[in-house]
Amino acid sequence: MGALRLATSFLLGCGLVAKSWAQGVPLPDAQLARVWGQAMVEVSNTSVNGYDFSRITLNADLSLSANFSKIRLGEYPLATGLGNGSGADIDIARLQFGRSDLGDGARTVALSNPYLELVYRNGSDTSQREVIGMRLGFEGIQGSLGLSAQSISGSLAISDTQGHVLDSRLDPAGGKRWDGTACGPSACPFSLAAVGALQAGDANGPSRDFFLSILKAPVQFPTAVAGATAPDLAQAGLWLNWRDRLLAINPGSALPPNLPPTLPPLLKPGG
Amino acid sequence: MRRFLHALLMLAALLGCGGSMAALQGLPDQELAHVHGRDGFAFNLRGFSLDGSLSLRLGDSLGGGLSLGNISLSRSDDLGNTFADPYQLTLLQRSEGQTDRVSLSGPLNSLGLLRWQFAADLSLIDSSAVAAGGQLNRFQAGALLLQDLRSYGMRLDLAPNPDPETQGIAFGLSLRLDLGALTLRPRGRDNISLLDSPGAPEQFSLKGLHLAAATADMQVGSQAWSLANLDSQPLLLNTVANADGSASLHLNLAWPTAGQQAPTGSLSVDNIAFKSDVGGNLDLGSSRIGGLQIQYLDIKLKAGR
Repeated sequence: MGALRLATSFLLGCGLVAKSWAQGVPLPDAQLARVWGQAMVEVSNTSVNGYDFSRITLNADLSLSANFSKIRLGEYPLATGLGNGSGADIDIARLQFGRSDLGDGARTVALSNPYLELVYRNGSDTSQREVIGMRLGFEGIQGSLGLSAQSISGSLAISDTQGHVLDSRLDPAGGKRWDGTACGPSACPFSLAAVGALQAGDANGPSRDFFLSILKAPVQFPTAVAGATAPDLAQAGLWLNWRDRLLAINPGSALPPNLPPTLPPLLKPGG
Repeated sequence: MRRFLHALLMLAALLGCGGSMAALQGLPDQELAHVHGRDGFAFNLRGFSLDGSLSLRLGDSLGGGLSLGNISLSRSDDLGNTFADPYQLTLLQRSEGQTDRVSLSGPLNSLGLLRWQFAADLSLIDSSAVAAGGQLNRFQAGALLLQDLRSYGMRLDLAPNPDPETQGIAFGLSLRLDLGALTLRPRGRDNISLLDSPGAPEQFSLKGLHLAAATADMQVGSQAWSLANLDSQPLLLNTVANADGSASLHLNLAWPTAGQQAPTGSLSVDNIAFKSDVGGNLDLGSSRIGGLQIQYLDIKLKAGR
């Protein structure tokens, strides 16, 4: 009896017994053949400036609500004279995807086409082939986030509603373990710790240049999205690139809440 | 092959063992009905090793994609606990009105002796030129290794999705994992039993990865992290129809049940390092994400662009 139930459970789960999820239509063989392998994974191999890049992209649309805390990436001492910052390349106290105080539309962040890109040197020489590192990124990010960061190594540009821009290009140390308080001759409009609510993407579309790299040498990555500006040179260590269409809503204010809904959502999964 | 057969024999022995543990008695039908939902069996591996020319490719119909070749997979044993700490596949009854669930649980592996090793040759194949009459651009990226992977009390639950309007398979999953190293050796795999093989002068490695439920102070704890739960935050796998009439593979991790919080996991990496005889070594120290709390995740996989 149990075995029968087990089998039935599987069949029901696979949609083989009960009615289908939608009005299914048989596909002719020729059409079905085209469906095979239109897979979600796409590989792109390029060689630029002496480096060999292999990008593996997952063709997918994601909606995410998540909270990450106590992120410390790359805890190692920097060479003498560079300053050690907070002791890690990336030091983020809190990173939230989504917020729960602006209605259902702001609860999740839309992420598109995550990718992993490997970087090699002398890729065609099996005796000298060298792995330089990798990066993880998304081709698009749109939605409400929360950020409280101690310091970040990377290339960042965050605008506020007054038109000021917090830009790591102004950091005299080149953006390594930068906390957003050093902006060369200018005064930083706000610090990374004060960012709070963050909007990625705008009416023109999603933010298109987010990636996190792990490298042993500086690398100029190719643009991941057609039409987007080429990223800055990524430096050795752990490095975050995010400059496109980023807006700090009200710097200095508390992080927005990001709690799960107290009532069941009306929208069906995938709807 | 011999070791593989040995593993199968172990499985058969365990299956047989379940039936001989107590004297069997006939059960009246009424009593038998109470057994409902407790069916299952235990199994284990011993001396498991799989080597050969097995290849897997995830990609498109033009021949492009990600390929893993010459796959090698093996597991070490805890000989003292082969029977006491097995894998278990069980059918469990849920509460009134809910479908039964199938549960697969892994060994507790409290001594950490069950260690998986995986190695494969990684090829990255670009097919973008094929449609225009060009050739595949194949890049041999080297060997990908997972060394000393230990799982402690993994559990995977499956059941039909309870919502009749949304068909699919619902999952629950909890994990506690330690991984000795995730390594990329661009010039080939060399000795895969060593984290730092002298014969592999070039490698990029993440050593000492730990994933588990977070402690109160956001450290990697000793309990499994429940990424999905059939009762309170199920993971649904199904297909959905797109506006253009096509279908997409779809994964959905639901919001947690009202009034509950999504469980928090924690991830740490003891060391990230590059080793190279031509470009020099670089040690990037340790890394961690103290708290990982996924409240909702929806993934719609699309066809190629």
